Formats: sequence, structure tokens, C-alpha cells
Amino acid sequence: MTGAHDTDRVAQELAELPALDLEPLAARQQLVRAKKRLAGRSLTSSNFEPAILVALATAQLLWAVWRVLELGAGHFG
Amino acid sequence: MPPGTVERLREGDGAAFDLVYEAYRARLYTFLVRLTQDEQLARDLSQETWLRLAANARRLEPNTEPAAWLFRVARNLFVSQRRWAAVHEAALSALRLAGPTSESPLERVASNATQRRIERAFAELPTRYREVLLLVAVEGFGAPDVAAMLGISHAAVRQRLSRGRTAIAKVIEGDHRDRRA
Repeated sequence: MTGAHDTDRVAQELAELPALDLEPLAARQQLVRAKKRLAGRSLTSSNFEPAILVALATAQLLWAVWRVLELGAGHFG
Repeated sequence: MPPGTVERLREGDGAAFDLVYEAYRARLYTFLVRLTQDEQLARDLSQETWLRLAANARRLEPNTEPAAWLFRVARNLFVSQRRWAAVHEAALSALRLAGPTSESPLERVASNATQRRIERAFAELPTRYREVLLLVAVEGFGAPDVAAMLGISHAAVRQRLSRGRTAIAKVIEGDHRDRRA
């Protein structure tokens, strides 16, 4: 068990220990990623992602319509 | 921390997040380097901690103390990582990723031999003593807060703190004797 004097010495030495920090670029990157999450944005999203998703959805819809028409033509034709 | 920062954080205010980040970034990273004894792991856990704060900002309680929240999450992430590493120990060893072998970065920035020995003493302490010593004696959290953060009793905090302080006291006493000799 440490006595009161030892505790004071330990406290003093621990208080004087140096701190570390990330390099500025790493710190900036860390903050940017976290704030993207805060804004509710995906960490891997790009500016083109919404347009790509809309294009894919449109293509799927057109294909479905074409299949329906094709099946309908085959049924009645 | 200016009053109202947590409230602004709960509203998703980016400027409030910047304030918290600037206030605690270095402290949190230093804590993780000492806790993990692995600079790269500390960097990864630090990133994950800030991502968790961002993801949970809107769910924070109004009376949340940001420091206690951050250090608790960081420590829990370390515990999870250690469990994962224990399961995958064989693979990590095969890849020689089992842990650091070089001098800790804190030893490199230490101002004197006593500080270097203290950092080495941290490395040699069992994790359960090291984390309590860091949280109470270095970061200044109260023992009841640390008991809550770690999910242990006040008595366990006091006992682990005492063991940790004894180890550091031995380092200091040893240096004192060496200087007198």
C-alpha cells in the first residue's frame, strides 16, 4: 500500500507525463469521417451515388414493363 | 466546454462536434496509446470512438458528460478488440501482428528517465490495473465514475488503483535511490 507521501509523488509524476496527439492530417481525416457520420452520410458515398441509384431503378422499371408487354403480346398475338 | 455544447451536439450541430473533438482528441488518443500499448490500434480505436459519438449524438442524454462518455466507449472498444484478438491469436501470431515490440511512442516523448520508466511500468501492469490508474490518476475521473464506466464495484476500483499506484511508486522510489547513490 502506498502512503500519503508516495501518493502525492505518484500524482505529481503522473500529472507531468507528456501527452501525444495525432498528426494534423490524421486528425483532420478523423474529424471529417466522424462529421460525415454526424450528418447521416455514408462514409463511402460519392456525389454520383444518387444518380446511379435512380438510373438503376429506372432501368429495372423499364425492363419490367417490357417483359409485361412481351408476355402480353405473346398471349394475345 | 461552453454551456449548451451537449444540447447542440444532440441537435447534430457540427460546430459543437468540432469543440468536443478539439477538447478531447489528444487526451483520448494518449489514453488509448497507454491503454493498448499499440499506436496503430490506438489510432483505430480513436477513430471508432469519434464515429460512435457522431452516430449517437442525437441520442445523448442532456446531462451527458462528454469526457466520461468518450473514455467509456474507447475503453469498451478496447475490451472488444482484445476479445477478438484472443480468439484469433493463432492467426495474428502467424502474421506477426500479435503486438508491439518496439519502444512505446510515449517513451520516446518522455522528458526524463523517470517518465520513461513510468511508461514502461504502465506497459507491464495488468490491463485491469492500468485502465483504472489511467482513468483516475492520469485523466482525473472520480473513483465512483470509473466504477460506473467499467461496471465494477468501488472497492475493486480502489484496490486496482492502489496496485497501480504501488507499481508507479516503486519506479519513482527506485529512481530516487539511484540518484542518491
